[in-house]
Amino acid sequence: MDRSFTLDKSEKLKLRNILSKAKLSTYEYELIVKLLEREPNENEIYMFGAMWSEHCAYKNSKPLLKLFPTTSPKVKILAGPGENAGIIDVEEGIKIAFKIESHNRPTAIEPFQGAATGAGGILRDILTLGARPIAFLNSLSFGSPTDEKSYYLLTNAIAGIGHYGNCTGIPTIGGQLYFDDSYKENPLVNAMCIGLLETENPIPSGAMGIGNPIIYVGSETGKDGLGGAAFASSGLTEKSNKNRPAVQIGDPFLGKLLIEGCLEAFKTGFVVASQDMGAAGLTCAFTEMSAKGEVGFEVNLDLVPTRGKLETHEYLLSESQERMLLVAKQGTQDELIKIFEKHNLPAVVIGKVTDTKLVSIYHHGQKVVEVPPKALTDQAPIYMREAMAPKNTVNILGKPDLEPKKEIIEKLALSILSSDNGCSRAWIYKQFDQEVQLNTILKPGMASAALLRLKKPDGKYSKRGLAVSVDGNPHYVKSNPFLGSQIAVAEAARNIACIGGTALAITNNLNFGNPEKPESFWFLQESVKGIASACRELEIAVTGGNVSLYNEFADGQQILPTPVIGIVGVVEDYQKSPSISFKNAGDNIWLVGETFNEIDCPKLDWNKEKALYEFLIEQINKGYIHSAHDLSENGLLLTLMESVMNSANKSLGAEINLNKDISLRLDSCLIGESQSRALITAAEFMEFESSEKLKIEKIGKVISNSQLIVKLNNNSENSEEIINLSADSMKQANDRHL
Amino acid sequence: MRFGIISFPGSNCEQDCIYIIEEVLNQKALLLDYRTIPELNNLIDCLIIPGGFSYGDYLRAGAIAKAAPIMKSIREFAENKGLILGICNGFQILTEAGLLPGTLLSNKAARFICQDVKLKVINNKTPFTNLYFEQEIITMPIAHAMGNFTVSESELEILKANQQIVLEYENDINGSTSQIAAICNKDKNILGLMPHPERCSEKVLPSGNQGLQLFQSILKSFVNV
Repeated sequence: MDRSFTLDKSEKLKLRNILSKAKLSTYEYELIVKLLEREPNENEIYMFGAMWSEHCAYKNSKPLLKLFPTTSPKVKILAGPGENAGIIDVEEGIKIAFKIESHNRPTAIEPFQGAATGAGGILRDILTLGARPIAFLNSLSFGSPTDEKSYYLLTNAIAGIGHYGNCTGIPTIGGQLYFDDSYKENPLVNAMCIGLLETENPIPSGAMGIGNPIIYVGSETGKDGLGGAAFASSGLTEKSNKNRPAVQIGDPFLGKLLIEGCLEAFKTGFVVASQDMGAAGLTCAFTEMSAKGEVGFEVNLDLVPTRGKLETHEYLLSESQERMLLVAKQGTQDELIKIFEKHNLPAVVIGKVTDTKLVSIYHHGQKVVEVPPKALTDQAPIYMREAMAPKNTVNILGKPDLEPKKEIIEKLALSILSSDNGCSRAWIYKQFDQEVQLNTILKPGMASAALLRLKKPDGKYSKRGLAVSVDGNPHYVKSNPFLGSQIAVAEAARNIACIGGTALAITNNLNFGNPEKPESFWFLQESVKGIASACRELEIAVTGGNVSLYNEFADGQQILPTPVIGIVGVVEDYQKSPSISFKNAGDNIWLVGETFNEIDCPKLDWNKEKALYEFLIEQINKGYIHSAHDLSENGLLLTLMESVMNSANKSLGAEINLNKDISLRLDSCLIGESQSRALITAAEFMEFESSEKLKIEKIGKVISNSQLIVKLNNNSENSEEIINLSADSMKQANDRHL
Repeated sequence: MRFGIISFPGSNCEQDCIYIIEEVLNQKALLLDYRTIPELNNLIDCLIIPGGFSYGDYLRAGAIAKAAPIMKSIREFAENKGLILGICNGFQILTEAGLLPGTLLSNKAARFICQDVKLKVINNKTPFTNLYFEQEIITMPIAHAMGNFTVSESELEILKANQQIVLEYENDINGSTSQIAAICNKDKNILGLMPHPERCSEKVLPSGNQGLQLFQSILKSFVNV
């Protein structure tokens, strides 16, 4: 029965208006009525709207996300999908929490605050578990920097990320940036945070203990970020600027106080459950904590600290930052509040846990909401969208090969270095504190992955280190989402292996277009399948992540399909992890892995890929590898150039003799992106043997001046020099300060 | 030797300093609460005001911290010739409090800068730099948005005349007058510097260990007293 028939015309209009604001369909309204067995009131409609958004309910992606493997034989998972973040046990009492999250829509509207609160939000997801945030990474996708608006968005987003991380004293240790015109109106900001658990066990988000007090901690609730969750789950339009109030305002100073205050409170053992108030604010915290704990909540909004006068639904939907909700053991609230006051943080009891299994909310002495929390969480509708593969494919190999002429190849080399996607990212990471907390061993630009040393519970450092990286190449995903997403995971694990690490788990951020468009949904579906199969292949777990859909602009333009992989692994001895910089003149340079005629989206052979990891990890653990650099975008050429530029401060360079097989194209050899390859250097006396799975080839020597010299041997008699570039000339092209 | 390290709300390098003092230098570290007014002369031999964003840099970096209760103890300690080391935000607080001359303005490029920089040791006759050579070039990391040390020409002449300039950047990093990275007071018992010596006091760290000599200089000057 269509209930709207029972309403008169003005009521119908009002309801339609509220539903539209809450971003709920009539079908979803009917579902709410069924679940509640009555008509919801206005406040309840808004709560459902927020909780049933893609951002909170994953209503378009849930069936796909079930494909991810959530366990691994390599590591004990202490928290997986559904918790605030993933946690892995890396032994010696060290437990690592990590998660990636997007803040795309807010960044498009207000880049500084949008990106800053992205960092702040993911930080609190980690903190909530009882973990101290120890590092940030980020993945950024923007329109061309020559476009004025894109440049404005990018520079302000970077400043915003830096503002939050620098001020809270959390180093930013890695990241990536992609330019493509499809991101022009809809940039992507994905922030990953890593935490070190400071409590014995993770603090759960599910509430427990009937009668236990519910404590609100942190910033006052204001009108900022109203309806952010629903806003984040819809497409951008010309009118999106009017959604500025849906953008949250961050205060990293308060964020820092929250870290110290919450960790001290958690260590008392008095806190039985905790959740940060991020998307959907109080609504999300009330319903998720009670639903997970199978209990009820009774809360009084009059007790919530506020900034200005708020309507009931504004309390419920505000996404004001730096707020946490805790459930404490009865009788411990005064002691906890004292701890928070010591850290200059407002903390107040706003309600209690009940046995009703209902969330009952009071305001001005009236009961304004009463809902079974599971209706908003577990019982959200799920849509299986239609998927359809697009028809077009492009074959770039149709174009003629490179001519082996020095001026042509050197020009190509320098143009790669100075291109938007190839130029140095130093101007970005210099704006981030990379070293605070003294754990950073390999920082941005130094190696294929970032490396942190890890403090054990006794305060001493472990010999082992944590390797982390964020990866993803949207162009591969666009040309083949299944394979491109497999490659994203493989490349991430390869980066970890290049510093001697074994990949253990990933978090992922799925940034895609409108799922209601079959082509867009097909990309999401194939990408998830690709990531899932790669993780099964490598025996690594997916511990959670974030889905950002409807990344499109008013004209229907979809972003490049952009799955981002955040990966963590462990190295056995952090002092043995090689950087990309050469160590000694006279060392041999080896190319590990096989090169094929591939320029566009390359193939991936898991046997070869795994053989590469095994080789790298084993040789690095033995201490034989002096430098290592994976081959990815622009293949061997960019890897060589980056290694030489990074060795210039030691006055070291490379002389390469390429014995190219006649069937191999020169472009494939130099800039082809065949997978499962790395460049390593080792002492002159070291010899490595190729095996069936892994080709290992000596291709040159480290020389004692800062040059890159490449000679091409077409047949063994004559060799011609095709590159002779100084590190200075390469750096000049590469160091674009945007 | 006993080091006192102050934590203001928003400080974020106090644990790093404590780690270096305890684990690398094997000395005693005492965390001091900004709300207290302790008798520092009896408690500690050297005071460190660490880096970070005290009070979120609201108003101006260091502007609110200078009004904290513990500043009374710090002034007394300074008058008694106690050794005070202000790193980054600690330097900003010391200038705001008037314990060191000059002002730290926003970097010339108006961006936060985190990178290793080359520094020249101008004065090695201080309790903080006695293990470096004069004119020695050392590397330390910086991480700040407001490190542009600014004094008038006449003030600069005074700094030079009193040998108060301790470290200079080799290159113009942030627009500082005369590329000054560190200064001390006239009596040489208070040092303020923008670079972070605690981030380069262990060989395994990416910025190396040339900051360790700064801490070891303090130990040496203490033993020699």
